[in-house]
Amino acid sequence: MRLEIRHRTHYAYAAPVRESFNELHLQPASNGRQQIESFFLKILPSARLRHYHDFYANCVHHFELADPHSALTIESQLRVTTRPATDALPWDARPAALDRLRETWRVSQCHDFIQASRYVDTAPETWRLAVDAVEDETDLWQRALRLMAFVHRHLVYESRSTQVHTHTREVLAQRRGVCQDFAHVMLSLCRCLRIPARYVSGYLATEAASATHAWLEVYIPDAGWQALDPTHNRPADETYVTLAVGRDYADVAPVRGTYKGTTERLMTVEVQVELRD
Amino acid sequence: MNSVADSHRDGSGFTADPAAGFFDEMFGRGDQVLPHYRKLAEAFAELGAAELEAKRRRLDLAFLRQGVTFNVYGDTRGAERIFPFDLVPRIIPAREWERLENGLTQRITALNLFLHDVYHQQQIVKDGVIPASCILSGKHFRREFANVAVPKDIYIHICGTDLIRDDRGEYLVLEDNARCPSGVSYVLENRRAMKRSFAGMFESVGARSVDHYAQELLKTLQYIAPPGVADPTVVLLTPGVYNSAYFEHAYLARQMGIEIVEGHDLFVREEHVFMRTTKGPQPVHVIYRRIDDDFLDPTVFRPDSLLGVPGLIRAYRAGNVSLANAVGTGIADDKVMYYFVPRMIEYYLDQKPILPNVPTYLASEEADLPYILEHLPELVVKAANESGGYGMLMGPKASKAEIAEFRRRIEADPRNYIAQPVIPLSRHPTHLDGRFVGRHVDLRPFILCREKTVIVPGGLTRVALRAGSLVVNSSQGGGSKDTWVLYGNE
Amino acid sequence: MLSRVAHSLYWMARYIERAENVARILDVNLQLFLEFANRDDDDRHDRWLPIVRATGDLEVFRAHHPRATAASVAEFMVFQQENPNSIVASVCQARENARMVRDQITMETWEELNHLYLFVLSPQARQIWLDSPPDYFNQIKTSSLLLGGLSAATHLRNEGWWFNLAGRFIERADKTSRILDVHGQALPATGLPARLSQADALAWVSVLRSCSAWDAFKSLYGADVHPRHVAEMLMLNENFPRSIRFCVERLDEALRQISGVSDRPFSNEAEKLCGRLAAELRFTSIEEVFNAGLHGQLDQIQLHLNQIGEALFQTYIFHAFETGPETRRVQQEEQQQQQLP
Repeated sequence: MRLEIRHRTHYAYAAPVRESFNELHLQPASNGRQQIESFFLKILPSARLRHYHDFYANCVHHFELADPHSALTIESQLRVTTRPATDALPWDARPAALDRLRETWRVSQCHDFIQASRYVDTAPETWRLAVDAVEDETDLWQRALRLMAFVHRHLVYESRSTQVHTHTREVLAQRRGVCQDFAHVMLSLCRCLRIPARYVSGYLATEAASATHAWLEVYIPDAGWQALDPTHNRPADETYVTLAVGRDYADVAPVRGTYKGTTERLMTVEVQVELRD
Repeated sequence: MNSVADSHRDGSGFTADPAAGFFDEMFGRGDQVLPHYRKLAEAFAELGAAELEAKRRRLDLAFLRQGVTFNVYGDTRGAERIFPFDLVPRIIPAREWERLENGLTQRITALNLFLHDVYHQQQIVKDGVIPASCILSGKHFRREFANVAVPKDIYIHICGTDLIRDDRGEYLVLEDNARCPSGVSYVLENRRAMKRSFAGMFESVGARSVDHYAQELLKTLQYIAPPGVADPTVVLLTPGVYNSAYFEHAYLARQMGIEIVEGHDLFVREEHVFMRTTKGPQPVHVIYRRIDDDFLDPTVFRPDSLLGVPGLIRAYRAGNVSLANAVGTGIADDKVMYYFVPRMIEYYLDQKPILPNVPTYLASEEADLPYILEHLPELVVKAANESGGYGMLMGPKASKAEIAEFRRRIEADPRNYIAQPVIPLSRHPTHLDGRFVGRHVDLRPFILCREKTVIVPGGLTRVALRAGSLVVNSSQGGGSKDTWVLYGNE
Repeated sequence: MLSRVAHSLYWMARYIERAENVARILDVNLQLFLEFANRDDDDRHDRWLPIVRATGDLEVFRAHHPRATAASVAEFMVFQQENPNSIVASVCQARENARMVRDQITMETWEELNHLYLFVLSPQARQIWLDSPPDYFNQIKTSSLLLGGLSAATHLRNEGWWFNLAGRFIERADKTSRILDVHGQALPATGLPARLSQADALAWVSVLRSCSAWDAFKSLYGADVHPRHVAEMLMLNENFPRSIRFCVERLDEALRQISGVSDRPFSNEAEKLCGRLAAELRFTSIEEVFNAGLHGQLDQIQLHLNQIGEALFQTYIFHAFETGPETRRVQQEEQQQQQLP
């Protein structure tokens, strides 16, 4: 699919703010499933953009606005071509038995993704849920699919039922949430069973797209990282564009920063994903 | 030749106690004063008990009046104590010091190579010398700092490495303090106090000077100035006046003639750091920071923290300001990494370690864990990322309940614990209640790294003032001594 | 110089000076009140209140003490930590400020201030106070004077020195005006007062003593005390080191040294206000002061001094001390990752 994506975050402050320092996870990288053709990033008021690559190889842009400003716009424009993943496992594949889990723990890039992290814990109660959900399944990929189905069944999707900083614990307690929470809960379940799982921030090409989306990837021996979307109970296909990966939302927040000034502000975010041709 | 020990059987002189089973710095394992202590022992013998007591009182008063104090964590605001100072200096002969110097230089060189590697290629992991999980699970491993180039590739510019001696008098490395080691101000103040009180003795024994520490430190800091800055402005960044080491921060800043700043004295514009002065913003090039990584920059490390200098890391990444120590050195003084330092020395330098480690068991190693859990009453257990004697179990002194508590903690989080046999630390005659008694000591030399490694002769000798105690930390009833490195061996 | 450091040096000096002046005020008034031992409680209450007011803490005082008596006023002004201007609180504040800038003050200054701090907090200080209040006050005064002398003799004449001096003289000018006002309030609102009763004359001598001015006064005006002369000496005298004019002129000099600007009448708000006040004190006669009303005039001076202090803060310090809700650091709002239905 050839996609054109515009992502605009706008802040209107009730009074001028200053000394604003921000970090952005907005630039996706090309890989086997997506080819980035162009990427533009615009800041208003204008600021010098710098970037670096973080520990998980995501591109991070950062900028500062020292002078007082009453509004801030961060806008990115992206052209990307996506393809179905050639290495995606079929729904009914049984590629790796349980006893192969151990070898994934020795893969150093998996280490961070079997630990608890800021929004994801591995409490005994969560472990219980995970164990019950996989029942007697002994294949790792099939286990992951069962966990995804469980999350999809167990949680009710409800806008505004949680906040951007809601922890998995609270989501499980109230059994409702949004994509971010679905992803966090499934990460918790996977990590309880020591299946390496990482958070993915990105875009979903649907007509209703109006914000960023979140899903996750699990690591399966020989097959590598496999993308699963617990919100929709399906593997991620070519309608998904990956922005960044990390342990959880905290590692990949699209826009994060601090400033000096009022807490009275209004944030509006627009995401448009359009098919080209 | 036993005259010194014999002449004061009344209790005011030095006496050996070989039966106690410890190595004594003054007597070794025998009952004769070792050659390098002879002059000192004679000089002390000439002083009467009353004169000693008087000198001691004068010194305590002077320390209090000068405010040579530290704050105790958890104590009420502003509670200051003087760090008890003992009159009897520790003496290290030249030969012994040379070996320590070589050993410490070797160690810091390996640690700096390790830090560069671990934040870039991680070759040591790829070659299977250190498991990735040990590094990635380190609380102070800074993912944010992977692939950042630091000036001159030096990470640890200032290191305080704790050395102990076992019952055979063998020097062992106990731990490396590679974040913000403190205590050097006591080295300098103790020396000043000794020179005033024992001028004659000081001259006759002949100890190497420590006074150049501040100049050496300043050179070390200037060495990492950003490229193109000929006359760098160096500042010392302190968490503030309530920090336990504030006295030292102010002391060092004054000795170096640099500003001591707090977070809100600094700000960042266009990736450059400035300080707020009465004449407006002044650029800052090198920051000797005495605050933890977590509190450097709220935009990077602790979004919930309102401390620190927003944008500082941005300026650091851009190479416009240098930090000493670099960000992320905490992984090097993680106690689990400590276990691997001898291997690092072999890996990076292809040398045998000159100074050995204390034998160490990792609770995270499947082979070690059962041993640790079975032998808790004989072992010292340490949390991987704590310092200052906190988070520690002294097996032989612990109650059943404490042991059970640590067993629970270790089982819950094996990565966070290591265990070591109890090392019978060497003792040193110490003047307490009008008598000289043997008390356990350690030694923290301060190591400076620039184009070469500089170690001011000696370091901080800490002494556990409680009889039988092996814990020398100031927060746990420790005191300190002046440390004299001799020009020769006697 | 770091703004924060300048701020601390300035306040260190102010607090030391404050402790000394509170000691002065209390010392002479305690002695004076011995003369009135036969008066009733209400009268004594009325006489003590102005002294509390002179240090500007009447409300805090009322919150802690129902009546103004020698004991309650002394307790309040010497030991009470809740009173930010008590001697003990001032010394603690001075030392706290010094601690923050230890690298900027000489070892001698620090040791003496630390010594004073350890003294006021020691049980021994209480005992001295109980045995003989004048001895206690002497310790405070001597220590403060010693600190002044020590910094004069050991401090590099750099920016820090001038901030120190500015703090000392702005505080001294303010306190002298308040000391003068204690008994000035008993005078008619405007015009020169009539002859004094003996008790009132004693009160005016106590004012002079508070400022160590009694001997100097006698050499200038003789032993016959008249409020007009007392006010002239403490407000307008050019050469007496505790007069308001003297202090304001030193403050003016310190401000100019700080800015380094001497070729213009003023280069910032603090200099403008201070120069204006200095000129007023210089070109005013004591008759004009009394005709306009002494109390009102002193009020004006205190107001001007406050404004100068505020302007000094705004010019040199403020950006290091941004506080208040508009300058809090807050996190940028973040958007949750979700698909809207």
